[in-house]
Amino acid sequence: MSKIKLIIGREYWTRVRKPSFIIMSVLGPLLIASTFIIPLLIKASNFKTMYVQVVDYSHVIHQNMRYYNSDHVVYLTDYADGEFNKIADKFQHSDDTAVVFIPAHFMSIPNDVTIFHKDHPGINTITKLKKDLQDIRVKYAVKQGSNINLVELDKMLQKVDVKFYNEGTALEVKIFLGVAAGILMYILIMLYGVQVMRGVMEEKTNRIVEVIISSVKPLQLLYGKIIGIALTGLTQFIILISLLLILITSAKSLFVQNSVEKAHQQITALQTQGQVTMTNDETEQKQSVSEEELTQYMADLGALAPRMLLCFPLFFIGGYLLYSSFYAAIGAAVDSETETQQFVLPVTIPIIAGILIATNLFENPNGDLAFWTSLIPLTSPIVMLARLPFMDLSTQWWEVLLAIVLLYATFIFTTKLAAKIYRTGILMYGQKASYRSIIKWLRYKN
Amino acid sequence: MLKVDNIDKFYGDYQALSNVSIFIPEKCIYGLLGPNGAGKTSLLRIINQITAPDSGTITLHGQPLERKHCDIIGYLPEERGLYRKMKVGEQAMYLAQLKGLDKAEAKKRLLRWFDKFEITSWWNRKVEDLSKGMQQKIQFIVTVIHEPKLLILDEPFSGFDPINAELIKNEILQLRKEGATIIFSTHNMKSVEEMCDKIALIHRSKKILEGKVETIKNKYRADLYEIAFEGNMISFTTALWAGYTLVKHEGEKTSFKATIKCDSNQSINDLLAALLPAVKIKSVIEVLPSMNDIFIQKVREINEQN
Repeated sequence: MSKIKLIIGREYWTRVRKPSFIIMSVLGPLLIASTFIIPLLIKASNFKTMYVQVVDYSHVIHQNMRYYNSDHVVYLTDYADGEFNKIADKFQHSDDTAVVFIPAHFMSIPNDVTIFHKDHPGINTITKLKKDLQDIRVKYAVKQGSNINLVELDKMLQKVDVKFYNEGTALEVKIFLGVAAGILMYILIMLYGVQVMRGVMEEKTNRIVEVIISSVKPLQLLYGKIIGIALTGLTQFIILISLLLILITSAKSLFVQNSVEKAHQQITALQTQGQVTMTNDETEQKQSVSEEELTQYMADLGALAPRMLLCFPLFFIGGYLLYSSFYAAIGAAVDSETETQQFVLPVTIPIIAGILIATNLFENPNGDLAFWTSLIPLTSPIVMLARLPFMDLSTQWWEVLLAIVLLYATFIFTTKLAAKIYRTGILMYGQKASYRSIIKWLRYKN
Repeated sequence: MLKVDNIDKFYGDYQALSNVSIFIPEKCIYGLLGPNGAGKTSLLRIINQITAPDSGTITLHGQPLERKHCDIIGYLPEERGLYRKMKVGEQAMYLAQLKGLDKAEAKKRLLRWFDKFEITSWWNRKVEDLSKGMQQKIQFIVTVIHEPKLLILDEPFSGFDPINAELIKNEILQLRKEGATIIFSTHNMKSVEEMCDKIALIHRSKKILEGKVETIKNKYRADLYEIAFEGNMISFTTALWAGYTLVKHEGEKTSFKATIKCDSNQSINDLLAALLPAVKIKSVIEVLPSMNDIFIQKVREINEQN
């Protein structure tokens, strides 16, 4: 038993005394906490009251909207249902956040609700607006009671759909593109950054590094490795995008076909039960809805594709080079995989923060947190990509440009630092790397 | 060929080399000796331009050492290694091309070396499938593949079995014959005596000894003689009553071998004159100090001085 105690003691104390254990113990909870703090921060950074003007051409709902006011959203009906241009002009000179145009046919078909805004009001406001409008429609339907038939009721219970007047693209498409691009960027940076670290470590632990740097400069080896791996990443990006395009195109035809079949099945079911009869016109109309919707989505994706395809490689290269320089320095500093933990964690934190912000950013794409983190180089490759679909590049182009300039300037600086650590680190065998020794290496002349 | 002048190298506050100067003539095998941590590897890395000195100069063929010289230097580091997952041939091609060979020439030379070492069948095998000795052979080949004028070998025989060590030794001698100048750093004193023309001993960052092996050995000769004789051991020791020290002896009955140290005022002639009446001498050999003895003695002297 005493021998087991000895073993337990050794196993316990050797691990507990490690700096990585202490760092992990402190940063771990912070990291976990940040997964729910960041979404809250994004919301908080946008916590201002949204004043939404309701222009009601249906003349049914405007008097009810005020019952749905909250701290966050206040509905107003200051604008008469006049001409659009006059309303738009008045709105531009007001403090209001958005104007919602309710179409005359809103109670029968809830499709053409149009939102005109200055800054994007955020997903919360839009969700609340949709919910409130839906609620009014349902109550209206109930009030109508037995005066309506089932087809009309079915139409009245359809979900409210909103369009953005000054944005050609559906919010869902923006969210999808932003989140997908952010996640892809996160995966690629992590994946290839870690590959750089492992590559450097392999050369160091194998001792082959000494043979190679007797033929080439250490920095040639470092840059060669980083660029080689970056090209692998870009190749993978190109394959991914190509496959995705093929998949989307084939899914589109498949989906349209399915929706036609599904509509047929529904109609057949309704007809055989004898409860509802539909005219041919109505059937065709129903069939074409999802196809139109999909075509619209595809068009929206197509509209945002150029900016995404242009910016993704630029931010990937910048972000990858920035992080791979850190990873290369870590690989050069340590002797074994286990030693990497204490250094990898602080490098990973900004990336994780970036992805957390990116996946929650649609709540408030133009809030302070989203703005600053899309400029700060440690998070900008991920956050800016997620923000990009929400941006009006005709006025916000400078933000993207500034983010790129800051990112590239920072990576030039960090690569220089990393190169200093690398040049010394790769030749240091058998020494336990610590932050203190790394700082010392930065002062060495090479 | 290679002239190292007043080299200093610091790592932070630690001085790895202090005012070290050596000269290595062309076609010479130059041994770099010293205890662990003395600064040998730092010096070799500087000559290889892996790191730069803080002060001092190095000239090769009278020209300051520059990056372009990398292609005429071959370096076999003490800590060997290859990419484990790469195929042998592919890796050898990569390393040969890094040394400036074009693809076709690299392949031609590699096939010749692989054939010479009878390892052609390894070409498509992964490095991790080879034994340590096999990997060492590959490493040696890629070190000499570009026919370097200056070959730097750090512990070239470590990891080799005696047969392969002999093979490598012969290759080194052959390379010297073909015009290469060779520096090798080692702890293996036997190989130093067998192969080196000149040596330098480095200790605690300073060069404490340099010269031709024969000259150094002569300088450190201790007037020791090994005498084989027939006769009586008591008569032998009685004859050496004064002026000589019996260091050790072995043998039995009437046949003995003894090592004698002559005091400063006694010569070998005096020793023989004293012994001849007492015993029948069969052979006399002067015992020169081994490089190992000189190494230990010199390091000990320095340690005592400090």
